[in-house]
Amino acid sequence: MIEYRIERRSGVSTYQQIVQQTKQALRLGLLQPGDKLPTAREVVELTAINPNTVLKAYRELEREGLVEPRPGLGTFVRRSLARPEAAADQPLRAGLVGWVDEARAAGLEREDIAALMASVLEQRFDTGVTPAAAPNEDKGRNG
Amino acid sequence: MNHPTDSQPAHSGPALEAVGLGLQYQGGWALRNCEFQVPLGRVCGVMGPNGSGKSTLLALGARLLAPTEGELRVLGEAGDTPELRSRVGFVAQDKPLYPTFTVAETLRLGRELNPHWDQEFAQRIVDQGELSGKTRIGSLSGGQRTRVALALALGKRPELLLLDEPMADLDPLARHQLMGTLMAEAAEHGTTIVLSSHILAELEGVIDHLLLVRSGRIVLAGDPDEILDTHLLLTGGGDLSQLADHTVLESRSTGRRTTALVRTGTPVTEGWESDRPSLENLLLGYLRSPALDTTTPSTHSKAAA
Amino acid sequence: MSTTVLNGTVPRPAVRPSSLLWLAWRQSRTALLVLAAVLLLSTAALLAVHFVASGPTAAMRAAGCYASTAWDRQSCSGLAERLHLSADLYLDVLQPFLTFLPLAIGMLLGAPLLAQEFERGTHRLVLAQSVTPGRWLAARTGLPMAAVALITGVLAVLSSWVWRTDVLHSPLLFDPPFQGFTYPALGLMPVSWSLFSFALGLAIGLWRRRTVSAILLTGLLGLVSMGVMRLLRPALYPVLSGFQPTDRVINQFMQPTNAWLVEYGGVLPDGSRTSGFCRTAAECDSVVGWWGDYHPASHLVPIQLIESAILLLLTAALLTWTFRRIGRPGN
Repeated sequence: MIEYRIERRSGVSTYQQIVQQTKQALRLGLLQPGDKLPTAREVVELTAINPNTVLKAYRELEREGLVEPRPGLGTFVRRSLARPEAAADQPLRAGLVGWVDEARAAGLEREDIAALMASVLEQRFDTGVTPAAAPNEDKGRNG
Repeated sequence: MNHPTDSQPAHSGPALEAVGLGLQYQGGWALRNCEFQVPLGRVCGVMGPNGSGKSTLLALGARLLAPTEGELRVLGEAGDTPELRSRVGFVAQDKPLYPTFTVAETLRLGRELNPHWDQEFAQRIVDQGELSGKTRIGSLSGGQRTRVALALALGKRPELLLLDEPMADLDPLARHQLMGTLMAEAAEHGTTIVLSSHILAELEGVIDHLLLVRSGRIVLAGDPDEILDTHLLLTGGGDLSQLADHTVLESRSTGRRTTALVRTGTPVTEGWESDRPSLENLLLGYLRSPALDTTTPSTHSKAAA
Repeated sequence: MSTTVLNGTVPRPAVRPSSLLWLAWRQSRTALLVLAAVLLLSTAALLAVHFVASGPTAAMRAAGCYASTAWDRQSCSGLAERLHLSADLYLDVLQPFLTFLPLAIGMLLGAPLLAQEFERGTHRLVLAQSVTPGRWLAARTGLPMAAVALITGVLAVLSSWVWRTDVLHSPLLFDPPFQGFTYPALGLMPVSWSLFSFALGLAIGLWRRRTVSAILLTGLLGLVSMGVMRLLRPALYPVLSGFQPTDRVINQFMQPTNAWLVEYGGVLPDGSRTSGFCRTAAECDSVVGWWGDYHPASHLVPIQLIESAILLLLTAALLTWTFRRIGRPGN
C-alpha cells in the first residue's frame, strides 16, 4: 500500500502532493488496478493533515478516471499509468541508462545531468515541438 | 469514502454560529460584534496574536463563559444543557488536571463523568506516550499532561472538540502523533475540531476553516483556499490610487516599488504584477492592516466568506 | 469503533450519582481520612475519660462522699484525686478542641474545596465533562458535609454524655453548661457550627479563589461569627428575673446552680436599680436587695435549638449563594 510523505514547506499544496505521489506510484507500477488506496483516516493518522484534503485529492484522482470509490469498501485503483516503454527491461530505459553512463564518463555530476535533462525536457515539451518534427535521435517521447 | 457516514449527528446546521457575539469584562470588550459560522465536520483554526480573544471564544463555546451580548450557538443550541456538555469536548490552554490523581484515575474521571466514554481509545492515546497508569499527574511534563488532557477530551467522543493552544507544550514528534490522532478522529467520526494557535506552522495543512481574531473582532472567516482566491499580492511601480476599486488591506513602498495586499473579485493588470498570497502573507496583512483597526466597527467580519 | 453509533441517535444517559460520588470521594479522600482519624482519637479520649472516671465515682458514691458533710473527709479527697487527670483531659483539652473543631473544618475542608479548584483551573476540567456545575457541586460538597455532620454528631453525643454522667453530677467538678468552652462542646453546637463554618469556607473560597487567603479569611470570619453569637446568645431566649433581699453575707445576686447570670445589681430603698457590684461601702450599705437576670440550666436546650436554627439558615443562605454563583457561566 502507498504511504504518502507530505512536505509542509515545499510550496506545493498538500492535496497536490497526494495527487502527484499517487500518479507517480501508478506510473512506476507500485499501484496496480484493483489495489486499494489507504483510507483518509489511515493517511491523516500518519501525516497529520486535514482529512478533507485527502478526500479532495481522491476526488481529483476519481475525476481523472484513475481511481473509483466503492461504498463501504474504500477507494480502488481503476487503471495504471505505467507505460510498458518505461519498464526496466524496455529499450527506452536501456537507451537512457546508456546515455547517463555516457554523460558520467564525460565528467558530468548528478546535478549537471539533472539540470541538462530538465532543460531538454522544457525545451521539447514547453515550446510545442512535436516528436515527429524532431531531428534529434534522443527519442524523448515520454520524458 | 469512510467519511462521516457512521455518526451523522442529529443536528445538521453549523457546528458553531456566532450572532452579534460580544463578551465584556471589567476592562473592556474581550470580543465584540462577532459574526461567523463553522460548518460541521471542519477542522477550524482560530488564529490571532496572544490576547486577541481566541481563548475567550473557545471558553464561550465550552459554556465556561456566557456572552454579554448576542449568542454563540453550539451544535444548534443557544443555551447550556447537560446534553450539550456531553457532545462538546474542551481542553483549556493550561491543560488543567488534578495533580494528585494518577493517569489511570484521570481516565477513570473521564469514564465516570461521560456516558459515552471510549476507554480503549483514551488508553491508546496515553499508551502512545508511554505513560504508566500509576504515574501521578503532578509529576508529568507539560507535553505528557497535554497528552492526558487530550486523551480525556477525545475519550469522551464529542461531536465538537474545542482545543485551546493544544500543541504549545509538545515536542515535534508528539505534536505530529497527536495531530495525526486528531485528524484520524475527524476523518472517522466527522468530529468538528476547533483549535486555536498563534503559530501558523502548527495549523498549515491541518485546517480547512479559518477564524482570524484581531483585538476581539473576527477579521477573516472561511475556507483558507477560498479566502486566498479572493486576495492578490500586487507588486509594481503603480500608484495606489489605481486600486480604488479594490480594498487595499496593506501596502508598503520601498523607493519606486510598492507591494500591496488587496481583496478583490476582479484581476488587476494595469501596471501591477499580481501573485496569489501565501496564507502567511494574508494573515500578517490582516493583522497589520490599518484599515481594520479596532476603532472601526466590525463590518469586516464576514470578509471573503 | 462500535461506540460511535450511539452519537445523537439515542438520548444520552445522564451521569450517575455514584460516579459523582466517586469523584467527590477521590478529591476529599485525604481530608475525610484525617477527619476519621480525628473522630477515632477523640472518641477514644472521651471513652477513656468516662471509664477512668467511673471507678472512683462509684467508689465515692459507695463511701457516701457525695454528701456535703463528707467533702473534707481524707478518704474522699483521696478518691477525688484520681478524677483529676480525666477531668483535666475533658475540660482542658477535649472541650477547647470541640470548640475550635468547626473553625478547623471551615478552614481546612471548606475553604480550600473550591478555592483550590479555581486556583488550579481544575473546575474547567470538570465542567468540560458531561455534568452540570450544580450536580457536580452537590456531590463535591454533599459528601464532605455529610461526613462532617456524622463525625461532629458522634462527637457531640459522646461529649454531652460524658459531661452529663461524669462532670455535671460530680460534686467536685464545677462546670456550668453556659460557660466558655463547655457550651460549644455540648448538644447540637459542634454539628451546627461545623456545618456553618464549612459553608462559610466554601463561599469564601469561591469568592476569593485563592486557597491561602480563603483559609485565613474563613478563620477570621469564623472567629468573628463566634464572638457575635456569644454576644447575641443571652437575647436568644427570654431571661428569668429574680430578687433576693440583702443578707449582708454575699454582696451579689445568687443565681441557681448551673444557671447563666446575664445581668445583676442592687436595689436601692427607693426601688431604683444599680448595675453590677456595689462600689462604695455607703452604696453597699444602702442596698436593700439584689436583682438578677439569668438563664437557668433548663434554658440550655431551647437556646441551643434557636442558635442552631440561625446557623443552619445562614448555612443554607451561603450554600444557595455558592450554587447560584457556580451555576452561572463566567466564573
